[in-house]
Amino acid sequence: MKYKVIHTTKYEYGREVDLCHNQLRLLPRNTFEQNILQNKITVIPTPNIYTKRVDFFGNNVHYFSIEQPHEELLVTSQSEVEKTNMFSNSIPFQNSISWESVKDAIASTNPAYFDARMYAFSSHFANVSIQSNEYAKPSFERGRPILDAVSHLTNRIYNEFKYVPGYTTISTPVQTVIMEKKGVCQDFAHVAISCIRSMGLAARYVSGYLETIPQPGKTKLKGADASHAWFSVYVPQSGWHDFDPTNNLIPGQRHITIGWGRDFADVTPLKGVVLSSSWHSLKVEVDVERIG
Amino acid sequence: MPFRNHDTIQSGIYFPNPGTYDEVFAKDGAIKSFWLPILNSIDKTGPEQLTKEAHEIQHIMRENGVTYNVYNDPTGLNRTWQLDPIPFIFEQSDWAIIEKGIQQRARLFDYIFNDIYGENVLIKKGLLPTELIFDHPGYLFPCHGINKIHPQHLILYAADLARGPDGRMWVINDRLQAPSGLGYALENRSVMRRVVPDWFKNYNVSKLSYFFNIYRDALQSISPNQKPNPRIVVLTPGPHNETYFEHAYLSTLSGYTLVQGDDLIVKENHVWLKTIGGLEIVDVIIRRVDDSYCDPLELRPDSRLGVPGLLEVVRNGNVTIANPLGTGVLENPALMAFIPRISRFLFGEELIFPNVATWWCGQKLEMEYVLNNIQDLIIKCIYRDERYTSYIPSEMSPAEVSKLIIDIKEKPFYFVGQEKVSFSTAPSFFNQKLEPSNAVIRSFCVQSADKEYKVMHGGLTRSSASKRTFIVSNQSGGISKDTWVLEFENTNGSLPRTNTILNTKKVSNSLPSRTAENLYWVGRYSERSKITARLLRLIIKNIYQKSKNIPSSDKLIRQNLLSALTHLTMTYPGFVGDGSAALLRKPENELLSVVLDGNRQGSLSHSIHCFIRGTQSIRDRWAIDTWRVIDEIEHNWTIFQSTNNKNIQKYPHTLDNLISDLIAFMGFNSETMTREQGWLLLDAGRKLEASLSIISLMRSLLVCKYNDSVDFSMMESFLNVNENLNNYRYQYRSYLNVENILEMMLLDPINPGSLAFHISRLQKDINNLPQSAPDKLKEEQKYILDVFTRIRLSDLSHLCALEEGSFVRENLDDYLGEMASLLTDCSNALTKRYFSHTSYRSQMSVTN
Repeated sequence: MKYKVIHTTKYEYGREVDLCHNQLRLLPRNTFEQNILQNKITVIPTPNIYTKRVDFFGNNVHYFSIEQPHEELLVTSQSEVEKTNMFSNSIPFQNSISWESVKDAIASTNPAYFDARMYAFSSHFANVSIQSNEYAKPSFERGRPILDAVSHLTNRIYNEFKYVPGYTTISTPVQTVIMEKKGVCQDFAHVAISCIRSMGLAARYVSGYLETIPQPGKTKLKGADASHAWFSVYVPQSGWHDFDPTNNLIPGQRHITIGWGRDFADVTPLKGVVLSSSWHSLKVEVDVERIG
Repeated sequence: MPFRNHDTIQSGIYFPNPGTYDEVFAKDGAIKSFWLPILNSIDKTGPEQLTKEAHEIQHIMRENGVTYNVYNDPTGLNRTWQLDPIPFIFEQSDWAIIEKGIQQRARLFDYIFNDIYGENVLIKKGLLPTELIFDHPGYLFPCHGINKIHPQHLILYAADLARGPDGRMWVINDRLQAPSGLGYALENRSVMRRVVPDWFKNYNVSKLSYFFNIYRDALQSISPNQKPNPRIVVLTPGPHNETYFEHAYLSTLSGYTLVQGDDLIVKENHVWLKTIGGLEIVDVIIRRVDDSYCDPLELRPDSRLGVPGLLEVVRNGNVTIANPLGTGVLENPALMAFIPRISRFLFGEELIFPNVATWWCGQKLEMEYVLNNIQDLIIKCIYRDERYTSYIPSEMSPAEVSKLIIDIKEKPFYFVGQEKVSFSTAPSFFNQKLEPSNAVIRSFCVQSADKEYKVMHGGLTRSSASKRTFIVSNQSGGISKDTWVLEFENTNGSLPRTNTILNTKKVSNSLPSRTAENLYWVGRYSERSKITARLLRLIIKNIYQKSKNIPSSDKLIRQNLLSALTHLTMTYPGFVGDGSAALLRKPENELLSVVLDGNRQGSLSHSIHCFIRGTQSIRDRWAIDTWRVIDEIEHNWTIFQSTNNKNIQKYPHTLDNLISDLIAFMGFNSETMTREQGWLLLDAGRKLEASLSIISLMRSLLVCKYNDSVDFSMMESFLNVNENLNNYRYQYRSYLNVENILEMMLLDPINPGSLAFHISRLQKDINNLPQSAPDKLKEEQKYILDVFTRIRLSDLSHLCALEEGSFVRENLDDYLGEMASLLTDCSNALTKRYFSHTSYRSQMSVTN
């Protein structure tokens, strides 16, 4: 299956801005489940400096600066992504090893788990707390297969939390989201990650897209108008397994991964610093279209 | 030399605590020979002499403005740096081991730094726990991988040492972010040499200048592409930082520009210094800002202390930062538990310094040990932030200890337990006698141009004020000591006595825009304070130092003076707006407010505070004498304010002193400042403010006509406030009249108090500032030319004319009003051209 993704971000400033520095993580990366066929970033006005690199987590990061007066900034990311090799690591949830044995593996000093271990700690947006531990516990019964437990947790978040755009901001602490049980996809991903980490397991935040145009007879999924977010949990041998708590889904054909990190801060799609004392407005549009 | 036997000295002047290791005494109880000359000398001259010396030290420290800011100090005062006259002395043989130990540790940390931001061998091999690095808030993920392209090294390293009961030195803390103390160490030595020069005659004390030269060469050598004349800046968080004195001191000493984040900008993948002459490339940044605050784009987004885009420039190898970003994670006491193994693994060496035994609670057995033995340990957090503290459970209440235990259990990886070691004592001069006190020595080293770590033969010793503390810090009131390393007889002489000013070429010293702005406002506020003080003095004398029976004409005079005050200080409504009638009848409270209320814009207190704040944020600009005056102004004003003096009649005395000090400040500057850009802005600020003040006073006091007696008073007051009454009498020897006064105070180009004089100076200053198109007049030049021409073309009889039946010289008032608005426009144009960096920075909202 092939998708064409167009993600545009437009800033308008109340007054001319002389200088801006920006960092973007808007280019989907290659994974076992997807190939990037082509991609292109366009920035208007033309940046003075533009550099590319791959960050600690393996994500594509671009930096640019615009060093002449401008009142508007338009960033467009266009990609063609082919979903392949679906469910390469899928195993029946009931057959996965118990969550305790995963916990022990991660806690060991075995270098094989080096990569997973750094996703087992509190991070700024997905910090572990007593609240997250309390919320997690009912899903992690003794000896329960890890994927079954995580799926149970995902299900509970989907059923108990309300999808309310605008209720939270990016700085709303995850404890508050757990108490209020309202938020958007980032919040639900952070809640799940925080819960899973509180059990001594490793979970990472995945930034990406959802197909925006529903197939005939299917409903449009939540979070499809902007970039989307879900999480992934680590299991020795089989690796990382994705879950989408916003839609209670196992991400598959309709999910396109941009990148991952410990939480939102590591994979913020676009951030920048401008020298300005004035207001600015922001408009984001995401279009994911099936092209084959 | 007639040595007395040491028993006499011991019993006479110094008693160490029984059972502890003391620096003065050898194992057999005898005084170590190198302590004899100094103890002998103290014994001979007696405590009175030492007290005198201690006072002199404090006096010099205060005069030199050597301060240490204490956070959250309600008085808001800078604390004067404390120096104990008794030095801490190291023998050469003792020091040789310390030197090797510091070098070993610096090499070790340099390796660890490169590994954790590169290949992560240490973690993969299990020599470092993952979470100790990756879960530590000081680990900066965006810095990972920079080393691969542009090797980064630990340039500066400092360790806090203390001598354990076994006589060996132990490491208590490692400082790898932005180690402070070097400047204080240098200052301590220079003060000691001044106050007790004789002590140095008996010792071959290693000189510190040698290390300082290596330090400068080292910083020179790390510039990208080995530029021969790199521009090096010291990045400071600003005057509120605890060691701001040192930032200014070191930058002045080495000729580096002292900057704050706002002074720098990233463009074209380079870091630039904003100067009033344009942008200039920066090659090396000596960082005194914690690394996570250095780039709001990639690190802490809420930081206002950094430079957006800085990390990307580092990544591209276009600037070098010392220490590199990311070293904060290494200031982690839990590492102590792991570095002995790392040292064996990397170098096959045992650590030369023993670590304080450290148990990291992130490991299960270690946590149990800590919880079971909590009363015998010191507990520390692994991350140093504003609320960083060490806990001593044996001195805490049971409730506090249980709270701590809960915290440890909740976030075990966050805590370490450390053995309580009773460290050696050394004599300090407290309460008029020598007393044993615990001492911690900060030792500094720098990676020199040839990539070797060189250790300073000296350091910064701090001793605790109370006898029983395990923690010594300046924040909790420690006292510093000069630190002497004794050299063998002839080695000191053989050290290359270099005068390593590699490039005697004068470096371009363009003025950073922020400094320029501060100078301009210091000029304005010094002048504003002076003229406000003069008018207040006149008013207070007029109201409170005359008899109670006031004729009605005097009432009018007072009212006019009081409204002149409101106009001058712009403390509206005051004596002119709504409700002024009541205030004019009983002016005292309003006057008190205009003097004392620091929160009220325009009040004398507000102007003085702005003046002092301005001077402090560019303290590297002032000569020592100038600094002394600033310090005195601050000191006196703080005392005046805090005494809550409601007796207004006594104010003139305080105001007299203030005026003298402000004039001294201006005088020192005109004597010491080179006539470069800095001076031009300071002077422009003064002249602009003086011009506005004189215009305001003319409008208040000379525009209206009353009866002869009132007119006389107004004219006399005007001349008085401008300190020109005697000039007038000398020049005109006649009855006061407005036309003469205007001739003298408005038009006379050679009277330094006249508007014409101020304007022509202001014009010169502005014309000499850097300009991009010299043949075209800048906006501010046009305004000032306009004012200048108006003065030259003015017609006094027209200005002074009174229309039939009118009491207001309308022509004069209009004329003055227009000039005031032209001058305001001129100031705005200056601000826009030279200080435009002040525009706010805002973080774009992140998209989702």
